[in-house]
Amino acid sequence: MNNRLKVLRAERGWSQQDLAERLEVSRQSVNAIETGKYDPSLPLAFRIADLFELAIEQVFLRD
Amino acid sequence: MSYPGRSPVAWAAVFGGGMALIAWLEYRDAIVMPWNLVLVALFSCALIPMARAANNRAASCGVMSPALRAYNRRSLHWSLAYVVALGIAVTTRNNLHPQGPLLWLIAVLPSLPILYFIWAMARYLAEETDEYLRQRQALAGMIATGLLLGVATFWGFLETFGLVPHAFGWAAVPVWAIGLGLGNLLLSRRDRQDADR
Repeated sequence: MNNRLKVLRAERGWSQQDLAERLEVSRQSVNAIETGKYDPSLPLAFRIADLFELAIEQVFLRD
Repeated sequence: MSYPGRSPVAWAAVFGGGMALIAWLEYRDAIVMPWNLVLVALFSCALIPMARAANNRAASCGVMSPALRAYNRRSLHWSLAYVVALGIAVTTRNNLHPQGPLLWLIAVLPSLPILYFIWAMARYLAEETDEYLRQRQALAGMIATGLLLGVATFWGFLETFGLVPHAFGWAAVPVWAIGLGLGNLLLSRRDRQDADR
């Protein structure tokens, strides 16, 4: 699954660590999701979308 | 900046190398009580900086969590408890030559820290709230299980055909733990390569 995490993060000037702290996950989790190595669970995907104040499909895209 | 003192792998190598050296000395009958136990205790001290280095490494790689910190602390506890329990069991057997219930007791004693290790693994998976870290540990566990099954099958057939000596059942956990360490090492390396791309 593709995602726009890196772009959304860059727009806000957040580092991976900043985003990780806001989501209360490890920096490595953010990196793994961002690089498409790991697809988050639905609850975490919703938390990410809520943080960016976007709909989930505006953050995560079909392959 | 990185130097060997900060690497958990270097400390693990000190511990593993020390244990291999003791096993070799025992095999050659080149060491006697209590010096073998003294050496075991000495090399076991490497577990303390190893745990500290593992915590620091995990924090610097962005994979530290309260659950992982608790797991590392428990790992140190069971490792040290195992060395102590094994020392007590071997010393008691060699010096007192016990029979009956005492023999049963000392035979069971080294298993208890290993059971604690299995419990600590289960606790980590239950306590870890970071789903990626939980998945990563489960993956490392599968790598460890694959290694154990492979080694057991390979060794078992060699043993059946009389090519290698008998391997005791208790060797399963050390082999699995080595696999877990290797799995974590591989996954950490992969994470580091992808970090902040």
